[in-house]
Amino acid sequence: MAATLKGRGVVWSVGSITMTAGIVSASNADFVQSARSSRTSEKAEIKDDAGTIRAQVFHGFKKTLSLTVIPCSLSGTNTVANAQSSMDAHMPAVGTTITVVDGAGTIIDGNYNLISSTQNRSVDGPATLDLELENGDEGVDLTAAVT
Amino acid sequence: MQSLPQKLEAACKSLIDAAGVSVPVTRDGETSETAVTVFTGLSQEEKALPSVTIAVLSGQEFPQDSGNFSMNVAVEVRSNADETDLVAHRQFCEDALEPVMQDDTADQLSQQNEDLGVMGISNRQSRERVEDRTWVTDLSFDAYCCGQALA
Repeated sequence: MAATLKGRGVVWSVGSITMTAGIVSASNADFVQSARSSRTSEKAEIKDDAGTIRAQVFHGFKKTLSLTVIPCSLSGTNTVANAQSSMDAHMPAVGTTITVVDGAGTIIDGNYNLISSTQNRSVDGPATLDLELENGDEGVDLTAAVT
Repeated sequence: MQSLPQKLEAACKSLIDAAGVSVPVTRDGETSETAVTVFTGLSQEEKALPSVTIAVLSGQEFPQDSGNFSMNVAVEVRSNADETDLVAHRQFCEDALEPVMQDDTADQLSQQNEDLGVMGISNRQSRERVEDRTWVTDLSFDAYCCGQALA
């Protein structure tokens, strides 16, 4: 029997993604423009003597997160100077531990190592930052310092 | 879907009505604060100035067969230039448009109708012009929504 289309809930936009360590959204605000999260691994394939793949072995599990943000001032201290400070604060040293919290889910939540940060500026738009973050995805926290 | 534009217009009207906007109007040498009427959509009503008109006249479904639409909402603010000066018109615009310029406008619109779910607001655009002897300022935005509440 036909049903009237009345709408379905979807996850709209980037939702609320904040950083609570490494880069702290509460003191250096940003507008998250895009977020891309992936869970990957390396893969080994074992073939028999006929060349048929008999098994796949997954190893080296990793979680990556790519964020594009527009750094901005806090709403309560709304100055261009604070936006500039925020821009600088979004480029800590590679290897800094960044803690991310996603208000729309749990997969993204966690600590990440900062792999790279790229600052983009153009004559006719706000400065943006591309952050590439990684952590292990098999119970080993790669953000913990090795001693 | 046929009622979705009207639900959205009514929800916007509720927010702007609640702001209780008025404008100083000078007629026959006397200036008084005049309450503004908020109109919705296409209508045959005579629209005396100053006025706010909310029109949701187009939208597109995405994804296909979801019943979710990105509806374009246009909020138009008009004042008679012979009765209201430009400074007062711009203050009128600020007061009338503030309710739809909130960071939780999507949630507020959803709360105006139990059969309306607004999931997000995007692509706000504004324009100001003069038409004959009328100041016209409009704010348009896309509302991604559907015709039922979403918990």
